[in-house]
Amino acid sequence: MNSRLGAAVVTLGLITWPGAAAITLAPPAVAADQPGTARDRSWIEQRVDAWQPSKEERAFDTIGWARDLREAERLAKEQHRPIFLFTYDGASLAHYRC
Amino acid sequence: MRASSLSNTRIIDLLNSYFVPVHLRNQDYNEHGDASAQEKAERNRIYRESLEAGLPAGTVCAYLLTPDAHPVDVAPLNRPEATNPERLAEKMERVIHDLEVTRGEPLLAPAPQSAPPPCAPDSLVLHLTARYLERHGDDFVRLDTKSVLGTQKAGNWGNLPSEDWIVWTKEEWVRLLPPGAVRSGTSWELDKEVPATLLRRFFPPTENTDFDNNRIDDQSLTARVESVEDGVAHARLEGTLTMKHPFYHKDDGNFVRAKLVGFMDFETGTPRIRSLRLVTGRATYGTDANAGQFFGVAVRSVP
Repeated sequence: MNSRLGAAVVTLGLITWPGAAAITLAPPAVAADQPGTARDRSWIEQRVDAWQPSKEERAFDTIGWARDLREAERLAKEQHRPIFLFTYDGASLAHYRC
Repeated sequence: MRASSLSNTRIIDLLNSYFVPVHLRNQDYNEHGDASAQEKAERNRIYRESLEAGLPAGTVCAYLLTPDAHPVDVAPLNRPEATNPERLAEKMERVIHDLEVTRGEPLLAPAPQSAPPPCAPDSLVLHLTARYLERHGDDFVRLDTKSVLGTQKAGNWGNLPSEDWIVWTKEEWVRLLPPGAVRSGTSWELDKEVPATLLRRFFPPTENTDFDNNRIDDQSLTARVESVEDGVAHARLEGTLTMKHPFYHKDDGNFVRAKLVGFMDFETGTPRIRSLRLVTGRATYGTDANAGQFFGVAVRSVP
């Protein structure tokens, strides 16, 4: 993407690319690792649950995607519908967050 | 585009009600990709035809095609038509109008786009989620992105988590188990090679997803059995990871530095891992100069 969009910006507290709204992430304030936090099984399970993708983050899954281009073209002809073809780079659609 | 237009309710409604949506990964369609020759030829035809029609076709792009699969419009990622839901909706509605498409039900049932790969029944299947975090008191919490998802403002690597699936064959996961008898207090250093296939994916969303080339500089993962009940050992996992992972596909000095904690429940008789969880404690991604961004990774065995 970098070559197509131009130089991207990755600096302290900022993760963005040109033309996009940036968000600022607070830099680490201390070196300590959550002093006093008990990391038992319950804490680990809670953390796993808390970091799973939310419904809003999985809005993409509410789209009825065709399995491949061939299936999309067959359905489009049969049902007289236009095709929306999204092409992307990356390991997988869920991994690539473009 | 996923976090902006493809998370927008108006776009999703248009896709489901008027279009046949399909997505493809470009790497599957290059010379060595897994797509069939027929699919590759078809994808190349669409790209070529778009350029011949004077449309700004690209690799990361939304193509709007007629029912006969001829391009009528495109929205490449480097233009606002792709990531501005209102502008993309205008393009889609123009196509719907011009082709006189009538509204209908989705032609295919929606399904999760992140699904476990097929594998042998005795495999250990792991699901991984990685996301940027922010500090909140003594804890690290997910970013609140509800207000930007589905809008043009969602053009940020922190707006969505990434997901991944890792499958360990039985020959691989048995290497995580301790040699000899197991009792409360048994501790051991886990095999390095097998966990490394998982730990190479411990990085936040970045453009670079080539985890095979991540360089692990330091990796430790120890287990200690806390209890054994009814033939099942409950072991605690602790470790650290230092790994070089460029944000883009070129060297940039960015490193992952993470503390790891988790647990593994396994049967002491027949070898079987019942449950595995591994999460990051304090984890940062960045260069020595900038100290890095907070992020978190959560791994869970499925089921």
